[in-house]
Amino acid sequence: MQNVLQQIGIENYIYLSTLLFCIGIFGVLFRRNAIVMFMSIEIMLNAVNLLLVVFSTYHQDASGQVFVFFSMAVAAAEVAVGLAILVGIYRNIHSIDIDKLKNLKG
Amino acid sequence: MILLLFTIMLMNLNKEDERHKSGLTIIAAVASFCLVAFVLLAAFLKSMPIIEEYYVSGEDYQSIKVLGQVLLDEKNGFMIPFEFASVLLLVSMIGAVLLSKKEEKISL
Repeated sequence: MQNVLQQIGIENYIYLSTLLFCIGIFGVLFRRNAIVMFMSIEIMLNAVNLLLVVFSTYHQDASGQVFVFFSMAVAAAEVAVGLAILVGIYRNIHSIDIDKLKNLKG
Repeated sequence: MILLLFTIMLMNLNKEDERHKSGLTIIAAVASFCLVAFVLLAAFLKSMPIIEEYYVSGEDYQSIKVLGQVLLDEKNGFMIPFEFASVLLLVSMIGAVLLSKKEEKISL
């Protein structure tokens, strides 16, 4: 049976992961909508998870994939709390545009 | 994935809501995108594997069975972190519900 890394190659996975991470950074820096920024952070997390799985397969060791499980669990917790905080922000200033979060600015 | 669905559902994708951004923001974001891509690609291309041949040992190492054994093994497993992950998810769920509750109920 031919391995998936032999078919595709580890370089292409690395390129895809790099591209996803950069798209996430671009989204965080460019968009001002808080939900879209959350989505970009999720894209960055998924890029790192993809790279972890790829290197786990490359080294033929299952521990990396176990680490990805925990990473996904922590990401889910983070998203739950983050969305709740966004709800609170929207209740207070009736917008989720982060440019309007200037109340702490001295 | 769920978050993406929620985002598409929650966002009102109107064109008039999208405020015009200044050119400096666009330039800065594109420049940082290119710089980060350059740095990451340079680092990864520098550290490409020396060994070109990729041997498969034939051993099963990524099926659900093996993953479950690695995750929940008694000696070297991740049993305690697994339990703590469940506690973390529970706490975050309770926190999300508390945060998004109505304000009057909290002040009571």
